Formats: sequence, structure tokens, C-alpha cells
Amino acid sequence: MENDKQEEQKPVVEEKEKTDEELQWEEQLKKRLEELRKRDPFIYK
Amino acid sequence: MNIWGISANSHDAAISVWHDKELQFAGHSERYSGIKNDGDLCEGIIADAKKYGEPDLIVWYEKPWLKTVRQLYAGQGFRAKENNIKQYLSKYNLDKPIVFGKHHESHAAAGYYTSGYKDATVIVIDSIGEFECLTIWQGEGNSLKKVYSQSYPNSIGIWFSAMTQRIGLKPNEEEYILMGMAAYGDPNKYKADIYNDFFKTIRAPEIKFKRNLHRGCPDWRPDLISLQDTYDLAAATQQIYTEILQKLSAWACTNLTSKNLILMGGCALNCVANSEITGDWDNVWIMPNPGDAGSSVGAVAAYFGEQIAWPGAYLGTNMGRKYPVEQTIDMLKTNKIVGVASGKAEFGPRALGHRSLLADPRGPEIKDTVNAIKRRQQFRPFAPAILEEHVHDYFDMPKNIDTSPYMQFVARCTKPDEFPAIIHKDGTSRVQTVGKNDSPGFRKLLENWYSETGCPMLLNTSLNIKGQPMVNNLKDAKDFYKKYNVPVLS
Repeated sequence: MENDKQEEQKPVVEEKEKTDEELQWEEQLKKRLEELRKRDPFIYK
Repeated sequence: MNIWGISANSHDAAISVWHDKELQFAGHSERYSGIKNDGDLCEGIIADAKKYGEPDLIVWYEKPWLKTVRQLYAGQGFRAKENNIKQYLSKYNLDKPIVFGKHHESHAAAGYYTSGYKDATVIVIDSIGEFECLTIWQGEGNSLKKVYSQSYPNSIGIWFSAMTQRIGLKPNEEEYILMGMAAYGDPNKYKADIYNDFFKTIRAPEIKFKRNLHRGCPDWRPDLISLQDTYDLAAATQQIYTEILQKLSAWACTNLTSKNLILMGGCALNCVANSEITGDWDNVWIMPNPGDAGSSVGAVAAYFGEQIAWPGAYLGTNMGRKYPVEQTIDMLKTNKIVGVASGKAEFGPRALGHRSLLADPRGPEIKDTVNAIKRRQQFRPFAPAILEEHVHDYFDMPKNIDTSPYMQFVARCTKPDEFPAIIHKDGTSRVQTVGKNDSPGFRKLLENWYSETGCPMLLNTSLNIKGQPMVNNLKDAKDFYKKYNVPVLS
């Protein structure tokens, strides 16, 4: 019960809508990291 | 006797040319091939270097067989054929006697023997050469002795590059963008996570890692992918690097005798961190090309083993021609922005007035205008070039630093409202001071600009087409004009 009450009292943080630039960044970063995980390349010779 | 120092077959290939211990030329291969950070030599740079005479001897900047062993140890395969430097140079018809230096010694020598100091502590931090990744040296007279060495895979440089890659940037190239992004993030949000997950020991000078980051860390915290996460990770990475550098500086300051510091290796380009340790020292010298390209100079300096007369950073392709002072001022007054390509090109990553895009730094609109031409991220700041004697009127320089001719430190601008274009999000600028002993043409330009406008500084950014190296010659200058319709004076 006590826990439930605390849950209820938590402030609701509204998530800010992401801009096109932010969404594009996320998409590109996801792709890059996926590619890197597949290729497993060395950073330096 | 003509000696060439060469660093190549990896990244940022470069040649330095010496005649009887006089450094006559030093250039980057990328400026001739048009390939950014080109790791190989090319015909253009060899032809330019040969204008100073055929080499009698070549000094190579590292030991290829030791590198071969490290590559084998790292799991990169047996690459002896690729590391056969005699054969590599033969491709360019450079069949000359070769002397081999050592990677970190070339870095240390490039710093110490160009410093003019009688004694110094030299800290070299980079990613990797043969095995060494962090070394500390003591210079006294002509002697340069290593006092500490840390080897692969414990590499601060590799960790920084891995983080650069983790946030979606190109490792071994875009570390400076991470540094710029850091100002937009909260350094404390992921700092503890990074410390805990990657670092085993931070007890200067020993900096050890929990995992080998040579293959990066694309698997680390896959949940952090938003733009704000990226900024926060950049901020934490930058903050940790600064803290490590502070610890190394404090250790060296306490345990070694000299009060002169020399910083070398690719990590010495981190101007934000550099600015946090200057108070430990009476003097700080960073050779203007502290990465591997600068080791083309360092390898030969180590071969000589004595102080050389440092001629300054204008060592590359010579376009000749008188510096176009009056025309540049006329263009700045009418257009606000103009390119200049004149005299010898800069040896090092910064445009210092000889291959520069210059603008009037006053007013709110100029940053967007220059950004539109350079087509780069909005968060990246531009830098000011200022008459040396006026720097303290506009900037709080780092402790014990009065001049910064090679843009190696950042300083807080005290009049930010007047010059928004040259100030970063954190209120600092990467300042270039121009003194009476620096480029006479660029100095004259700033002097005349000041006498006509009362403003002692100009916005200075590198003259290059996006994604390409800096303009090198007249053809490149014309290409820049065609592409961006911004006049380039030469």
C-alpha cells in the first residue's frame, strides 16, 4: 500500500517531443552502431 | 646533406625536409591528394619536397617490425609485408638508406627539440604506435630520457577514440567534434558509469583499463542513443580526459624537476583539457603538429638529438605572393567574409592565416553566415585571431599563458556580447594570438584592420571544402571559389 502511494505521488514528467534533427540523429547513430557491431573493426592500424 | 623525415603507411602521412639540420619544408600528404587524413604518401607531396633536393637519407618515424609484433599480439594478423617500409618507399621511387626511429620517441623529440627549453618534462599521450601509448620524458640539455612508459592495450587515446566512435563520430578524425559537443552536455550524468565500466586504475602515472577498446565499444550502453545522450556522453568523456591529464600533470610536476611542460601525441590537440593544467607549470610548449604528422619532424629531431631552430608552423606548399592585406580589408568591409591563400601553408591541423576563411567577428549574424558556407554543425564554434598585445583586453587566458600562436588553448571571452560568432556554448574561444614574430602578412592584416575599425581580431576558420583537407594551392583556391562563391585572395 505504502509503495502504491509513493508511485501515485511521483511527478509526471512529460516527454518533450523530439525534433526532426534529434530523430534523424538517433536513427543514424543506431544504424552506425549496428554496423560496427557486425563488422567489429579495429579503430587503429 | 638532405634528410627527409617521413610518417606514413598509417594515418596523416607527412614529410619533413632538412638541409644540414635546417628544417626547410614540412607538409601533409592530404593537402596534395585531397583525401582527408590520407595515410599514404602521394606524388604531389614528394614532388614538392624534391624542390628542396633529393634525400640522401630517410628517417622513418617508428619501428615497423615492432609494430608488426604488436599487430599480431592485438589480433590484427601478421602484417609484415604491409609494414615493409623499404618496399613501401620504393613504390614512390624513394630507394634511399632508411633509419628507423621509435613512435613515442619521435613524438617526444618533436616537442622537446623544437621547444628551445634547456630542460623540460615531456608527456606524450596518443592512441598507439608500436606498443607504447603513454610516455613521460625528462629533457635536459640535449638529453631526452624516458622515465615512464605504459603500453597497449592501456591507451587513453584509444579510449577517447572509442568514445568518439560510440557517439557516432569518426574515430581518429573527429575527436575534436566530441570536444565541441561536450559543452552541450552534462558531464556528471554518465561520468561514474564510464569510470566504472572502462577504468581499472587511475593512480598517476598509471592509467589502466578494464577492457581492450581497440575495437571500440559499440556495444556499450545501447540505450543511450538520443542527441542529448550523445552530448552528455561527450561531456563526460571530455571531463574524464581532463581529470586524467590533470593527474598526470600533477604527478609529473611533483616527481620531476623541470617547471617547463611539453605535451605531445594526438591527445595534445585537446585544447580544452590543455587549458586546465597550465597553472602547474612556468611554461608550456605544444609543437603545432603534435600528432603523427608532426613525427615526420620529430623522427629527424631525435636522429640529430639536439635542439633545432624552430622556424614556425608555416612550412608547407609555398604559394609565394605578397599577403593581400589591403584587398582583404576591402573585402571584409564590403562582404564581411573572404578567403586568403597566401605564402607557405600551415604544417598542422589549424589554419593560422595563410589558408584561412576570415570574417568580421562583430555582430550576431556572422556565425550563421560562415556556418552556411562551411556547411557544418551549428554547435561548432569559430575561432578568433587577435593581435597578441590585445588578447588580455578580450580574453581571460589560462594561467601562465600569455600567447597562443597555434590555437592550443581556450580562453573565456570577457566581452561575449560583442563577438557571439567566436564564442562557444561554454563561453570560451580557441584563441590564436598573432605576435610581431609570427606571420608578417597576417600580422599586418590584423594591424591595419585594427587601425581602420578599432577591432583587433578576425574570425578565422580553415579554408576548405566540406569533407576535404585545407586548400593547398591556387587550383584548390579556385575550386573553393567555384563551390562556395566566396572570393579567395592570394
